[in-house]
Amino acid sequence: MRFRAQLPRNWRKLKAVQAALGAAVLVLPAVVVAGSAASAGTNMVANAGAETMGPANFPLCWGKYGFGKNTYSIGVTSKAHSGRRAIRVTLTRRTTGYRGVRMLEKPSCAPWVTRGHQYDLGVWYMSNTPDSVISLYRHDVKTGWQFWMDLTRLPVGGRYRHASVRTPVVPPRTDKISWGVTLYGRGTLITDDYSTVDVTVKPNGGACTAGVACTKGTWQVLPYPSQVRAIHAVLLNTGNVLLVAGSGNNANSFAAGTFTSAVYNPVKGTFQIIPTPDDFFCAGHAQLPNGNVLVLGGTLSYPSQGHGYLGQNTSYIFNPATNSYQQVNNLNGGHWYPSATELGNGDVISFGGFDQNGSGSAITEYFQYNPSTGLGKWLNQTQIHQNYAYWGTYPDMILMQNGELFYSGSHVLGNNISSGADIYDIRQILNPAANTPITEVPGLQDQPGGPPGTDMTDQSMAILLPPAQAQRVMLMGGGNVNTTIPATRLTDLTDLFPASGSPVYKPGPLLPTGTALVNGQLVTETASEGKMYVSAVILPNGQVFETGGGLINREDPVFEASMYNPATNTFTPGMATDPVPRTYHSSAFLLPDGRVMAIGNNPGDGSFDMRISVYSPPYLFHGARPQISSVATSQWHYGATEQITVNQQIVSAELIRPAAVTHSSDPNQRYVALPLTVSGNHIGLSVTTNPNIAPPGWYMLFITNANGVPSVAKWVHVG
Amino acid sequence: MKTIGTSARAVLAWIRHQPGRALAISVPLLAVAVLAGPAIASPHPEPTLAVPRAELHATPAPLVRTFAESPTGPQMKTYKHAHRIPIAWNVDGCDHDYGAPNVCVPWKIPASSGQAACAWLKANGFGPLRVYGTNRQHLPENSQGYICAEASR
Repeated sequence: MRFRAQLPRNWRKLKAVQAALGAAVLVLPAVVVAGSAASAGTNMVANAGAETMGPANFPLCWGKYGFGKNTYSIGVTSKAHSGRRAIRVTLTRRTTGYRGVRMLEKPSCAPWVTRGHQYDLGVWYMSNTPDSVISLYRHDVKTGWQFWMDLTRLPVGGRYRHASVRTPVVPPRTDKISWGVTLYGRGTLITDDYSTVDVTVKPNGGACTAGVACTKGTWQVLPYPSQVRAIHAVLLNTGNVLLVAGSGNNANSFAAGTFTSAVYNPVKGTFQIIPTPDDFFCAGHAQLPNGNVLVLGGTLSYPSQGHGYLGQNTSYIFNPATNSYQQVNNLNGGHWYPSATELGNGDVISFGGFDQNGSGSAITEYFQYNPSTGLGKWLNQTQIHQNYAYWGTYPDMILMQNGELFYSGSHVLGNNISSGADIYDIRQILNPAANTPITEVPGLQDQPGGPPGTDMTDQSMAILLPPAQAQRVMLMGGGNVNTTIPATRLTDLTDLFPASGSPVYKPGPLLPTGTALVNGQLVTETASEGKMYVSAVILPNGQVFETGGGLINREDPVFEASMYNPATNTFTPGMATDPVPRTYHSSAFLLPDGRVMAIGNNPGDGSFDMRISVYSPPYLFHGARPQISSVATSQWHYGATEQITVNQQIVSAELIRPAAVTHSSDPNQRYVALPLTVSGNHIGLSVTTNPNIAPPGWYMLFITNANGVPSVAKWVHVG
Repeated sequence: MKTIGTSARAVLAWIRHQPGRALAISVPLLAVAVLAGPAIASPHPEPTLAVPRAELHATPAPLVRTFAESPTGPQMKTYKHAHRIPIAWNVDGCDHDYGAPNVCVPWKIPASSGQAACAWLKANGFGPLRVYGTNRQHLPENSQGYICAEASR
């Protein structure tokens, strides 16, 4: 706080010094190009006070930008914080979009930055609308300029006040940044005296003495088995895990009406068996905003002569406070293998599966959450726009930042019943007469050497890569239920924030190969063999741990695990492998202590592996963990800067949504970056203004230090 | 000019004769001038921006970026009315002719003969399996209706 307050004020008094520094900064980029890095404390912003005018009667090195239907003006004003000029942005009418100013992308204007460094961005401002933010862009040496993130909101103030926020760690291939302010509500925003200062916290190595675990991590198989067939796992905001079997893919249990679930305490290692009123085997589930768990559909019947699996139309809510289920109204049809995606308003939308007749269910289901009761109801299908498109089984529907849904193409159970990927505009879904277009996202790779359109995304896993603000999705692995076709190593990546044009899938790096257990023999996978039923778990350090899976449908477990780094788009192969096979009906998910739990395995012979494995990633062996000493309040708000204290320097803070995973599918899994405002051990955390980035509910709050070591999570409630 | 000059001389004479009083008066005056002078003399008073009272504690709206707002490309086929979507019996890749419903014998066992298929099933943990439908893959079946049992021929 002291640093933040003093630097600009001193400048204000020393205008001559400021002018000299400003002139120096204008030539700084050339110095950096020549190989020198900006020293700590140097303001890297060219024409920081907007005093030097450039072309078009606008400050040199500053540019106007914006989109949408709105009426606006952008110019200079004499209401300066220092000097004679400041920059003013005014929106007088707004239907859509936003307007703002930011540093021009020219080499002489945009600050040059260093990979791995962090920068404090500061600006003096006045604003009479709450709808303004600091926005950050970065220049990728390969792909060019791209939007990076909206960092923090600028609270309303009629007199000059200072805002400061820290960039995330600069990722590889980034050589310049540009930033500025964005106004997206009616009002005026005046800014002056920008600053960008290198505040890098250097790693100290985090000396590791754990041998191979330092780089590969380590697995532990717990000395006790699960008390239920853990086909579904939901991490509760109590820190416990709801493990759901229903009939557990056991026809005898189904016939006997024996349905089970348990609340597992991963700290104490205890199980509490929960009376389970219906067969939730192959149901859908998602956490509601208050932490309750919505369970929908499930098994109405196992296959018999003349029909396959039939879907339930019942729905329940599990309450973590009472550890009990409560029935809500029925769905409009049966759903076996349905999706469940929480929306930005806290409602849940569901698609697909098999209905009560064993046919594909093409009814869109919509659960309207009631915040006053913590419950809600399923809407009648006539209240929802129905296009009767069939999305298949466990279609992976990811909520996009604009409220649309991205069907990643990942699904489970069967080939070509919902191939491809799409963007589904559901923003008018509650208007039955609305137009709700579904647009194909091309580019998913086919089976190598196979005919065009070969669906290799069955039993793949897709995730919204960290951070959610970047809106990038990876689909990894997958295969085909034809056991003569081995699973694939393919991955596909799409940017839902393309610099231009529409999103498309592009090939990503291949999954590393591993060792498969084939007919009782361990064999090394060939160069074309990968995994289906893979699990992908987002970690607090912003990487994705990939584990488990099999070479063919339900068989041939593959012992391979790797770490995917979204920043470098690379897999680090050779991570420690789970000694327990994890194929069909297995799952892996993040625990609040930063470890990863893996459960389940249900191969074709019908057996079920009840062992529980826990993975400790390498970051748990690299020095003392940072601690969140205090959280000012656990009730967080969109657009707020929430306060915490920590016990050591950190480089990031993040919210991770607790898992609700089954069948390699957790479309709600996400990591939301929390830009920092640092004042010693007091940290302000900027929460996104957009509930579509972080749908309302309970999240795990982690902090991470420069060695990549995360804290144990604290639970906070957003929304 | 004469009046001003006379007054100035009188003030200077007074200061010479009363230095203590002069100091007592001039120091506070000087302090006030130093502290308040710039504010009074400044051509730029502290700038302000009018803020409507309603905005002071207003909740921020969500900022939604317009990227990918209107994607282009082929549209998925939709329907005005519900229609039946048949699901193949073997959609899950399992041959439910064999074994209990939760058992998944591959629709096409990766083996070249019946005996090899039994070997594959045995290697993957399958015991003898009851034939519930037809023995579609022509696996060795015993008289009790089990395939790949010890007595299978």
